[in-house]
Amino acid sequence: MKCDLCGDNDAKYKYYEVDSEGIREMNICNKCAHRKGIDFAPRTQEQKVENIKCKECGLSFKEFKKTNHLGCPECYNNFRSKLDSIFLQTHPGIVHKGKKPVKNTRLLSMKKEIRGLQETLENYVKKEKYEEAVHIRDKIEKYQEELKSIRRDK
Amino acid sequence: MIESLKGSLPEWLSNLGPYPDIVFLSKVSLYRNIEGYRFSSCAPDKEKTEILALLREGIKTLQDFDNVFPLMELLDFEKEFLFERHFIPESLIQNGIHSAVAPNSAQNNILLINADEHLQISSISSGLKIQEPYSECDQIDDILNAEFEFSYDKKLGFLTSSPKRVGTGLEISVFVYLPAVVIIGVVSDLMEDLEKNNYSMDGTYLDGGGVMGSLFRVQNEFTLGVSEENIIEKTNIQINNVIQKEIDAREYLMKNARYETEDKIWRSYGIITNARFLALGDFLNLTSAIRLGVGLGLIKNLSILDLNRLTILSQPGHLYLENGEYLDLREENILRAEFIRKKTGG
Repeated sequence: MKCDLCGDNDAKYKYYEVDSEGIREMNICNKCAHRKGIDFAPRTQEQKVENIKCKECGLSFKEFKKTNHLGCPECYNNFRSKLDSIFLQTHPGIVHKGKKPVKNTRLLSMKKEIRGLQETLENYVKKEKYEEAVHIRDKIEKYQEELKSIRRDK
Repeated sequence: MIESLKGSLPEWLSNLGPYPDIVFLSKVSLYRNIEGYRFSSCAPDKEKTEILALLREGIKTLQDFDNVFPLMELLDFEKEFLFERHFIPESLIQNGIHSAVAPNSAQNNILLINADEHLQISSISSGLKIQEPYSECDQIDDILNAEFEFSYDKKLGFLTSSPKRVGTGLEISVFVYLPAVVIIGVVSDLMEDLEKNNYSMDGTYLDGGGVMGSLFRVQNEFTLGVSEENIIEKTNIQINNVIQKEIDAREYLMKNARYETEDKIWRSYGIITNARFLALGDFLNLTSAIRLGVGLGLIKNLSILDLNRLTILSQPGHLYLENGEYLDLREENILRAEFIRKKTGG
């Protein structure tokens, strides 16, 4: 069967064109397919994964494979489908069976609060608003005392 | 900058652990990353600076970690010194401008910031000892975990830049002397055995592809899908197997090549106690043979503890620091020979 477009070469692919008149089926050759900018090369799952990029840090799976280092914690989610087989090359399982972090949420939130207050304090000092600054400083000192007592309680 | 460490001996060079003539030291590490930041391999300088500042602050909540050494402020030979003490990896001698290391006063517990991962908590013990240094790391981890949120996923555990460490983030490295295994030529068999069980075995001091001093590092290559206790247990089994291979090789040598083996040991002893030049490679090979001699009960006036100390203290970085500046190779080899003669009564 000859190509419906050039009429010279043998048709290799079935090609569907959609326009206002509906769907047209055509049989076209390699050359014409190329000219139309259609990539008929079979795209394997492998190639698709190689090009996946982490939405958070932008690292591609290809780059990861070169260095064996992931870019950020989110990479684990973004490359998940491909990582399990890599895990199983060395690890006995794919689910964590070890220690869980002990979170001291009260302490962590207190620390966050203090960091925020320290920034506010710096701003007041810069703007020479000393009265407000003293107020914030007292607050920080109070929080730091509390922080110490939380640590002692642990 | 690291003057405070000059002339000091880490705890693991002051005592001996189990199987001292075969196992030099055990190093246990926990790898952690701070949530909300990219991993060190990918983080821009600004983030690395923040992580460094954050961790330096956090370390203050720990007792006994008063000395923090930012690598940027150190001379190359000072970094070599830290590498020789197993505080930093070799790659950080040239790089590591955002890294810092903090040993405790006994120098058995070490915190390393911004190397492969944001934080590496390590503990070193003399001989084959894994549980105790693990407990040390575990405690430090708990204290720091109250200060920071570490990157953690319910299913995958602690998240690390290298997927080889994900899960527990636990790495156990045991440094073993295997002179008899090397002599009878079964190193590659042993390596294959270990590889099958997901352990790696590499030469510690390399010289153009060869392993100097028959010192090898055996390390677990699995961290996920298994508990810390399990990794420790499996590692103990593997290392005991390695130790048994060395014991068998020694017996074989003493049975089949007794005079040749004894000659090698005593010649080595003769050389290090009399040499006027000692290159590092020669020194490592000779002390390895002497260590074998001590292990076999042939050499009595040198102990394993002496040899452990000499191995670390006569490394280039240690000699440079003692000397206060770089030495050329000739000077280094003379100084090493003098140092050894003084310490061995030669």
